[in-house]
Amino acid sequence: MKKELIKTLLEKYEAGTSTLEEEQFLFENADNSDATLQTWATFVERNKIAVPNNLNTTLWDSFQKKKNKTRSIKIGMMSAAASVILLISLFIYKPEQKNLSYHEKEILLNEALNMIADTTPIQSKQRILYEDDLITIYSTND
Amino acid sequence: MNKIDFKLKVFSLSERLFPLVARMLGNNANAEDAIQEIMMKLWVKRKKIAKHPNITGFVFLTARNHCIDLLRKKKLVLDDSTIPLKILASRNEHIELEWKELNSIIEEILQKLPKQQKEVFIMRDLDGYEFTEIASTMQLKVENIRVLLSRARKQVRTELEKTYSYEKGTY
Repeated sequence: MKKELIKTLLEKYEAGTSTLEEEQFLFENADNSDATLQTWATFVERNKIAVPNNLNTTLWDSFQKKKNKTRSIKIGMMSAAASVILLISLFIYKPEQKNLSYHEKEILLNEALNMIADTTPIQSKQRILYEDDLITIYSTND
Repeated sequence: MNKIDFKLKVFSLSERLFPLVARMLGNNANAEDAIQEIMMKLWVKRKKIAKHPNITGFVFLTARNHCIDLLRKKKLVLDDSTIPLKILASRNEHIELEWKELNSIIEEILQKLPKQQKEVFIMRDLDGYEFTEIASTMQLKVENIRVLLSRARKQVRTELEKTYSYEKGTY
């Protein structure tokens, strides 16, 4: 009976029409009567890749950490970019302000100088030719 | 697709993907990292995935393509013998030798198979994937997968019978 079943399953197996459950049954019940199948079944059994325990959970935890890390990296990069833009704009804006203030300063300075020039006449060089108690005779460039 | 949906519909397939990725990359630790990378890729595409008619298939296809990319980048040779040889743990030395021999013989037989047949055969017999999963991964129809698998199984059987003298018993 079992032999018949295995024979039928083997036919389905070779035709590629068996289900996973049928294939598992076939491999588990392979014996000396079909040494080729037995060899293959043993090979399959020994070469199955074992999935680590709780893989979904452990991977999900690290996936979330990685996702958050990526997000903070993105935020960090965006802040860095914003800072750079701010610095650049300040750099571009600052020299103009500096020039303007120098210009203003220059105007103010000139103004101040003019004011001084108006109130205190520049003393010209006097060359005393003669001097006594009553009079002083001198020559100037004016 | 929100985070909970993504976890349920996409991320939960990580365990299912593991044998495929580990076998393709030939390393369990690399497989975990690769699955993380695959999931990050899928997370970025989550809006598109939500509308996809076959989410599981898309996840499998993305995983396979990612592994192929990794192998190309790292110039690793696809070598299925890596894991089986590692799995051979300390047992009786005589049996161990016999198994090493058998492993290499079967490896040789598998290497002789056409590429697609080999991949389908390993995915089904060793890793126990459903036909629909294999079809999505390989971008083929289920009927084609059955044909490829049938050819591969017959070929392996013939080759095994040729290689061993079964009258002796154990093999």
